[in-house]
Amino acid sequence: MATKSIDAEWKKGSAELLILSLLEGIPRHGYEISKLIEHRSEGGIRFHAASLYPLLYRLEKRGWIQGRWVEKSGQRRRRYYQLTATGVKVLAAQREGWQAFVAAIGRITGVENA
Amino acid sequence: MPDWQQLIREQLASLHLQPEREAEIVEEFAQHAEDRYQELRSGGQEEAEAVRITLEELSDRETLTSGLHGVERREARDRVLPGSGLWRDVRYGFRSLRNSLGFSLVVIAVLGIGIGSNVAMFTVVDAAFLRPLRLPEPERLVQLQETPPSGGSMPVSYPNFVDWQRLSQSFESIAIGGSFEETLRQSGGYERIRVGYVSADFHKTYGVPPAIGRGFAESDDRAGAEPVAILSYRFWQSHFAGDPGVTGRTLQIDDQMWTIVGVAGSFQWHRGGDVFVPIAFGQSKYGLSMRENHSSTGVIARLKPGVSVVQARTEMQQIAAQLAKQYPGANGGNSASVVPLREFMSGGIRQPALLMFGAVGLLLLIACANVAGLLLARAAVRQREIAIRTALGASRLELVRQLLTESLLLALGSALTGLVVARLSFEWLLTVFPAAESLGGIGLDLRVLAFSVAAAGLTAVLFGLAPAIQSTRLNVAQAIRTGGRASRGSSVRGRTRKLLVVGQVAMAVVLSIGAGLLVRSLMAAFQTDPGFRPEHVVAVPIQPPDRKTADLSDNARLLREVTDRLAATPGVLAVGAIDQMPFKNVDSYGDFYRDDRPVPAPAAIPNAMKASATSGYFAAMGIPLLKGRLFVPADGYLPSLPRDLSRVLAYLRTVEMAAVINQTMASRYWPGEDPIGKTFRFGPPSMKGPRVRIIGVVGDSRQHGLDQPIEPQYYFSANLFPILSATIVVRTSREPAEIGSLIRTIVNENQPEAMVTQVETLETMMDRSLAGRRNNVLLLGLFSAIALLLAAFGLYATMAYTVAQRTQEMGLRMALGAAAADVRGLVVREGLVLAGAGVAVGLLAAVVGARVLASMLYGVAATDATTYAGAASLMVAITLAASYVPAWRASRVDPMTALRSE
Repeated sequence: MATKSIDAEWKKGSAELLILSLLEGIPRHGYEISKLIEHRSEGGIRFHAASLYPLLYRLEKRGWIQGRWVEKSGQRRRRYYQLTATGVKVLAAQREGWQAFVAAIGRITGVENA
Repeated sequence: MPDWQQLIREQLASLHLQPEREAEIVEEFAQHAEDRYQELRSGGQEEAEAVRITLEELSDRETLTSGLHGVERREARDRVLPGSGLWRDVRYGFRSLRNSLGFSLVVIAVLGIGIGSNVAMFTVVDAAFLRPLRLPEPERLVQLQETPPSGGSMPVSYPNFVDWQRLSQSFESIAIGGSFEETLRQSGGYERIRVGYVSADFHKTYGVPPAIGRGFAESDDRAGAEPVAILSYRFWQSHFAGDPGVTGRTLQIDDQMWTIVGVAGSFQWHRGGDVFVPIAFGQSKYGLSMRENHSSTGVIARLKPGVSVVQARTEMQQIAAQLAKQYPGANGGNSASVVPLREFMSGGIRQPALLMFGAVGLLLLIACANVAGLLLARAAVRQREIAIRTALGASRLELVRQLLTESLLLALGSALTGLVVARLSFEWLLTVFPAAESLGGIGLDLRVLAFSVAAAGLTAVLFGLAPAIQSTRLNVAQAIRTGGRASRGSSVRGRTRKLLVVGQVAMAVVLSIGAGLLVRSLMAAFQTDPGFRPEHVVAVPIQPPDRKTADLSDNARLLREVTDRLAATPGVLAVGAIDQMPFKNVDSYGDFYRDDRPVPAPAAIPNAMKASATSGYFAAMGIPLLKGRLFVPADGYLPSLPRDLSRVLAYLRTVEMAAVINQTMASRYWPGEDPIGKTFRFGPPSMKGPRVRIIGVVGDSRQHGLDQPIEPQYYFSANLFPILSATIVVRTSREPAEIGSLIRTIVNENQPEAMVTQVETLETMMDRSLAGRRNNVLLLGLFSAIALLLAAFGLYATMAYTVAQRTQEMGLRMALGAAAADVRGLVVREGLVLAGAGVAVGLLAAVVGARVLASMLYGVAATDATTYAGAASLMVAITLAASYVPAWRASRVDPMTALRSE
């Protein structure tokens, strides 16, 4: 059930991967990232500002993403995040790792790997 | 819609981010919150609901602060640097206080006044009671006095001192000293100084070693010794500029040359002494060798180590009893008292100082209660902010730390303000309690400042933390929803605030009653009949030369010359002279007893004020003659005699003296009789003093002050009873200065060595006699005015806050048809209930506390109903004024606005 709340610990474990994936090839601002996560998970996963931004800052500090202020005409300026070269590599590695992890869990628990 | 940026900024405060980084994060978060809010609104949510959801979503179990903490904190070593975190707390605290500048300033002013007045007052009280004398081992110093059977105490006669010194075992050393005004003659003219006639051990007993030169030796204090003098430290500085080569130089005091042998160490003798000389030299001059003569000499002693005051007292009482048996005439019924020097010296200012300290303590309490109320009100206002910050994940510790910093900043500001207030009021206080200065030079005491700041700081911290303490019991969602309006928590706070207001009103009422009673006493004193008519009366003191060889009859002759010449001057209505001028703080008492009755027991010898006056004195003062007559030449003249009291007395025993007595003496000692023609004996029975016949009775006049009781008094003729220093009293239509220069001229022609000092009007002297009382009124009046202001402010703040909390209710009432007047009445009634409770408590407390004041009152009872009613009415009037503005505001609430905001 997509709408069922997803265990917070799982969310924590996958948060970095989710954000890095959403920034692949396209810069986004924080609010957009949080809306996309909610939307694509059909409400199953939600990130509120209080946990989303600290995560973004952490990724930025590690050098995986980079934020910059962008001003668009008629709008207030917003901070857009995009993947750095390192970020691209980390995303690839994390994807791989995640897939291996999910497969292993599936084998143990008998849960079909969709 | 909330100010998102402000909310986020407060939330981030505890992280102490770099300002520019903080600004970025705040901007980003606020943008996010704004986006979410707009989304909710466009989805059809009501504004309040949209705000609530946005705020709830800003909260997350993985809190913002802990999330950011790991990422954004500065390098670890920065965090352990002492003060770096504190500095940021302080910076944020400043910002927060600046945002509510009015509030902060009021708190700082209120507490500052409380602290400042407290420190200044406490310093004076401390000097009087708490701080040891600045002498070595002051706890071992005691003052010894003789106690007559009639009670009270009196100076020790010199022969008794000599016996005490010989017989007592309790003291390491014991000394006697008397202080007399004499004339220092220098090349540049003359000057009146105080000469201390002291026994050899005087300075040693006090524990003051000589600053230069030597102290007195036993051999200096003997008849026939070389005349040597020791300068006081202050006199050495003022007259010799601290010249270390002063020893060996000479001083001429009156007609005696003294060789300076040393300078005493710096200490203040309460009797005052510019120059000290051995007491042996004062024996004949001041009649000190007579056992009956209790002139102004004080005995000081230093207890042996391990001897208590009680032990010393017991021993001295035994010695006094022994001497009373040995000399029944002079010492019959007399005992001795031993009191710690500190206690003895603080006697004069004890009552007013304690009263003022009580008043200032109340003021500090009022200030604290006031600030507590303000902080509680602010807590209620900040409840929502605290709730939001809690929701956003601020830990209780962080909240407490930040509120604590704010409170401490307020306390610090108050302390600094208090210091300024203290400095300003301290100087002034010293003029009110000049006696405090003789307690060894006082300056503002840091311990005292610490005490007051601690009291104020504790208040600020305790009540400043209220919101943080509340926050743990706070229903976050409810607090956010109600927008900080009354909740269960705030009703407790509301009760506390009301109690604080009641307390303030009660204390203000107590102070106003105190001030009111003192004002009424002052008024009563001003309206008191002094017994003379002071208008157009000028008083001019004359100081004849104090030479031992001076002829006492010359003094009387000089006075006659001056008064005769003045009497013949146009514009002079009456002129006289007296040695005990009223309102000049001089008293001379003399024992007497009726000689038509059995000689009373020594314990029952009556005593009355004694003066030496010319007949013209009574007319000049406007003191009426009620019976008999005044002095005439036939009453006799003093023959040519040197200045030796025993020789004067020997002569007076050979004549019958005439005396005029006052009404009180007549009715007290000759009740129901006509005293004219009756006789009494002057002095105690042992003195076998001269016989005195009463020739007249004059009206009572006040000698010591308008607020002092009338005492029995007898007057001898200035022609017969020697006058050592006199005051010429002139009733005149001329200018005081003219009279002064006229007297100077006459004196110079007749007796160039005599001095004419200041010229004063009797009205000025009377006015000055009430200065102390006026200062008390001023001081307590000031305290009570501040107290009333603070109480009014406390009431106003409470009412205004209550009204603000109940805007909806007021709106609803008015929507349902209540008139504006009804709403106003509702608020004012509430204020009156609070004030009424405070007034009731205050009146009760005043009835209990007025006993403290009773001894300072004059012509008004400590429970004077008019004063009490006045203070109560004043408080009610102030309440009405303080509640009216909030009430008026409440009645102007637009019902629709109030309901919409619900």
